[in-house]
Amino acid sequence: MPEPQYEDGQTMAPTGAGGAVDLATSEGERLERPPSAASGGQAPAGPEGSPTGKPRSLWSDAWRDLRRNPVFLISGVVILFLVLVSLWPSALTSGNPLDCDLAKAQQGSQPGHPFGFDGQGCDVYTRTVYGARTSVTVGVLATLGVAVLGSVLGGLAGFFGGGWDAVLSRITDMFFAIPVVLGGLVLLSVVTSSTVWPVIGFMVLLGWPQISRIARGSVITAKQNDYVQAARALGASNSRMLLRHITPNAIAPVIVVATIALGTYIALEATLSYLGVGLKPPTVSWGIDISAASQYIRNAPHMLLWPAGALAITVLAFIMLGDAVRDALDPKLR
Amino acid sequence: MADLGKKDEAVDATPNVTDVETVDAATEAEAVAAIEAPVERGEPILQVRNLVKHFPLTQGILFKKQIGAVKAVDGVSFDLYQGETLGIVGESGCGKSTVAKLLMNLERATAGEVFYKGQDITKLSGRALKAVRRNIQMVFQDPYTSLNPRMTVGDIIGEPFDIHPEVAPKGDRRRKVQELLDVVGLNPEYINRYPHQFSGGQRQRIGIARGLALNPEIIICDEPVSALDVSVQAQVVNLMEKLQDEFNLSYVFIAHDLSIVRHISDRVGVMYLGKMAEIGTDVQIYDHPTHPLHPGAAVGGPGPGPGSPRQPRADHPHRRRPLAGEPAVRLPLPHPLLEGAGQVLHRDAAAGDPGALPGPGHPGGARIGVPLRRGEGRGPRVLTRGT
Repeated sequence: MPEPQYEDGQTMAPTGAGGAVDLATSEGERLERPPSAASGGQAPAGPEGSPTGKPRSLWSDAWRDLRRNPVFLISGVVILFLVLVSLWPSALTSGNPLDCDLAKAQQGSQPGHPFGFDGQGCDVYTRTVYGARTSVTVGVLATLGVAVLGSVLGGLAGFFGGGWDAVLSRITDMFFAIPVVLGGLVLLSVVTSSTVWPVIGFMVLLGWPQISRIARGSVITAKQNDYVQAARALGASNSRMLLRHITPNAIAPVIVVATIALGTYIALEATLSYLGVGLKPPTVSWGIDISAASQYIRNAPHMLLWPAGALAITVLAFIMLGDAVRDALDPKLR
Repeated sequence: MADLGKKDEAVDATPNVTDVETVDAATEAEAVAAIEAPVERGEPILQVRNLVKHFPLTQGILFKKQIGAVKAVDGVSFDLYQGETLGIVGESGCGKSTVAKLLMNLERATAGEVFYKGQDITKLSGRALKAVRRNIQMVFQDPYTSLNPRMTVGDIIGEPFDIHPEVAPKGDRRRKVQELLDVVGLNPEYINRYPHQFSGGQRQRIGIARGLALNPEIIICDEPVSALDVSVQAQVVNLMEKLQDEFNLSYVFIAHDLSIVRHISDRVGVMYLGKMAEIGTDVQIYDHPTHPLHPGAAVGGPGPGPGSPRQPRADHPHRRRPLAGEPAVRLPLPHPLLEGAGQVLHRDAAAGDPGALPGPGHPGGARIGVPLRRGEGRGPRVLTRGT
């Protein structure tokens, strides 16, 4: 056995450029290279620095793309601000959103009350700040629920196929046929609770088929790759194939769609609240405030302007974030 | 490599392969013991008998009705001897890759047996199947899809040890992976890199290292070099030959490149429409072709001959020799779904069977008894409902 001789370390360069290999000769060592290339068994370092240096995974590549994307930076700052505001609203306002004075109803901007007062005499600025918490909570929890439920059901259906897959696909089709707003009007009108949970539950119920369909498709795509067959040939269990090989390669589209959906769930919450079937007072929500302000749009447009503006910026930020994540994770989808 | 079975005479006639000495294992432990038992060099290690794989063609959305079947593999039998390389060639769609998947138990066989040391692996499960998986490994065709892009090279080559922890103790694995990288000619320091940082040839070396990790006895190579650049093909094939000597491996080497198969194989089997049309040493197969559509007949199509590149010399061994009974008009490409395509071959006088083999003493030449009239056997008819 001659001393170890490695293929060239130049990573992406075509191999074999230096190997004078003749297929017709059938004996002897045919991996010969000039001795200088292999002296000491030390291959030259590739263009990405030392071979032992920190490797670049596809996730870190995606993160690198994201950090350079201005859309991601802008939406990220807005979302970070929103999250901080919903965690500590008292940092921005000392007022109480439920502390109202009918005498000040519909009044405009005043010192200490920059956004004015709404129809009940509540401070619009304080209510807008506190409304962020509701919107972010509903959006994040509904998205989490939809993503977990949808990707587990869709992923298992895609992986195992067969009858389970056929049944799930037909159920998905049925849910797709339900109009969201109409379904909300019917289902949520019977709910009396004033918490956010019925709304979140409704969104998960109607939202999971979308993610399930995407997860199923991307699991089926990933399943057909040879590396899954290779794992099976090694004797890997189903759970190992799912967790180690399929999930990491199938999760990107789910993340992308879930991020974009987050913005639409926030908008949907506002829609349902506006229609009177979503959140109910005393919960503070932009949708409720928009609904209440819409009757006075001629007399006191400021009551509508601030919560509606906050809602628009929030939804836009999440959709922009989803776009940026999509571009980074799956450039082919662009 | 010793000249294992490289004798010119004594055709290894497929349908007449020897009986299999099956090992009746009552318990799983006995089966595992049989699987772990060593096999002498030159003894049969893998014996395939009448292997069949049909893919059903169905119609209907909810209630599926079978309207036919693709006969991907339709009765294949052969022996693989310890230490030899059996090349399997055949045109695209003839069932080569399905055979590989069946040998790996990645697809369920419709019928037939694959005996590994006397154990029918198509019926094994649990611990015994896991023991078989340890001993039969696979190298895949496409090095770009056979490595998980989200895993480092160390994780890819180390995964066999995660699945079979008894092979290497945990603390020892990293060193083992680096040894394997060294064995296949890659720098052991690349252990933390990702597959996309390697070229095609390097990736195929990683795939080979993964196949070697468990110290298997058989490696099924499903067109291992056909996705590679020609210069790299030679390197990888030569590496595989070197590893065969070093680790005492038996190869089933599936390919469509005839020169590479001849280079590496001790014996060559020719598949045609899901059957093993003939099998024998490379000299028998390449220089004394007996089957009208087998490589001996097909070789010498395009490609440089020693004289003019377009017209090889008349006495050149690779010059295309028309066989008696060969139709003047090219037949449509054979396909398991097309009835009529390549049907001329069914006129084989012996058995009406494309898999029929010449007996000894038929070194080559006419196998088709009835000369074909012009136009006969043409016009493929797609199998439709009711057939």
